[in-house]
Amino acid sequence: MTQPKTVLVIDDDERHLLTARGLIEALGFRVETHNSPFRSTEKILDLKPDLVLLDVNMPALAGDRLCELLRSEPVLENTQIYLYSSNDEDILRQSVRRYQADGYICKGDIRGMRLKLQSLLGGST
Amino acid sequence: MLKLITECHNLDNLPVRDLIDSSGSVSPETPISVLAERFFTEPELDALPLVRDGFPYGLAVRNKILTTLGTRFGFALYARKPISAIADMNPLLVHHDESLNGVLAQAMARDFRDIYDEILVVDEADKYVGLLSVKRLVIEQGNHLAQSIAQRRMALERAAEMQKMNDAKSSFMAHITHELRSPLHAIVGVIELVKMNFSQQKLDEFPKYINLLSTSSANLLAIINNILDLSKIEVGRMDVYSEDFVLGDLLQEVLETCQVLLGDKPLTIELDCAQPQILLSGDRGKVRQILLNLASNAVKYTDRGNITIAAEGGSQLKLSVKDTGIGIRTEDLANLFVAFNQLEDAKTRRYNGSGLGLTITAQLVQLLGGNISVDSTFGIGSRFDVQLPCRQPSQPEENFP
Repeated sequence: MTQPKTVLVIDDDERHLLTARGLIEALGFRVETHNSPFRSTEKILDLKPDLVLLDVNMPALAGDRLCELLRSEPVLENTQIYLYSSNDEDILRQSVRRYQADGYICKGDIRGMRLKLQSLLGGST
Repeated sequence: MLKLITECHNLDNLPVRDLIDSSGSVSPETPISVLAERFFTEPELDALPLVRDGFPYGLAVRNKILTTLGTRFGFALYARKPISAIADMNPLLVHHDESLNGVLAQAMARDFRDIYDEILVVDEADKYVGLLSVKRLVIEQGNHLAQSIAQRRMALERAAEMQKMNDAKSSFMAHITHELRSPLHAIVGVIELVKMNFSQQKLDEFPKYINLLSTSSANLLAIINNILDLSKIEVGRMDVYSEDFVLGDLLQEVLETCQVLLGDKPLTIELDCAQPQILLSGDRGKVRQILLNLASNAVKYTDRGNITIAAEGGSQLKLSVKDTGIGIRTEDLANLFVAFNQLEDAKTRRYNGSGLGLTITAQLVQLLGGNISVDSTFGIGSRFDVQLPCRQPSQPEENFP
């Protein structure tokens, strides 16, 4: 049996960490959470997740800017980074391009999130 | 008479035909003495065109004719001769469709002694139609330039203002979109978890879920209420009511709400009111909202220390909220009460909310005829002061707006 794929969710809002964990675990993936942009690089390097869901609106360092910083880490070259936000989709699309994220997932779109994660990480185990 | 052109056109396209004076002309055979007599008796007459059979022949300019006659023997020499003998028989002729700028350029290119001489205007058939005064052309050109410069400046200022408002509005829209959706997305997510867990009869997480649903909906409702309140105030639909209330009860109510908001922060909230039992008359709902907005802001922006809510009733209701919170930078104080003006970049804000609370508070204070002021030191804390006109029910109404 293969190891389940790992998703790391970074969000300062505990409510969203809770819902993301519940929804993604139900898909059969392993979920880790982190509630601040600080020390997130360490967390990612330590955990080497298959995919990172990154909230955009966070204190001190916006998620899209954090994404840009993570992208400059050669070790994380194969880590998929998706923006995970309640922001307007047009703005998210722009941020994806500007900060070199792999894509975005809208917070309220549960169906969309399930489909996306399954297609990115493979069907539920 | 000449008519003033007020509409602004491009001066290169503005034809001179509207500036023509076609009030009179004389034939080239007219004796000089007759013309001299006219110039003497009509001080306003600067020049007369010489016209025969409708065609222009020359131009008699007041100053030049009178100067010639005024020289030694001038009158004796010329008085009986026709005007064509001393008039300018090669004056500047322009077509009536030529532009103001074009005509002025030709006028100014003349010998300096002739620069201010009138210009004869002809139509398509080369027939004389009238005279142009160079002075008038210059004035008209000046007016147009001044007008177009002023219009250009106004247009630029307006564009800059619109741009600023647009920027503020679109950043406000981006921000409010997030603030409205974020709690709703939490609700949608939790409901999905409830459904999933319920189908598996896993109920142990339910108290936590219900608590989350309740705080998220309250959070969303507060933001929606703020937006609706502000739009109501902005279109002038907010009414002022008056009712009697006990000051202490209102303070207690605000205090209790703040205690809930406080959570587990190491923070104490004190009430400071010498006469809590005083009965006041005013718009209780709005007074409560003003005080609650200020107090809940204090709770939100203070991590430790204390908050003092003070009130003093009388002919004026004086309210103040003092905290030991993050404070406000001096440069930010001026924009504190301005709508759509977030002090922090929305993406990296530490605090949630519509960002409209203080704007609404200030608008409510204004609606009640009072005033609000703030005194704050960044990193130390803030103090908001509100004075509202008020009266005690037993007193005459003179202090109430």
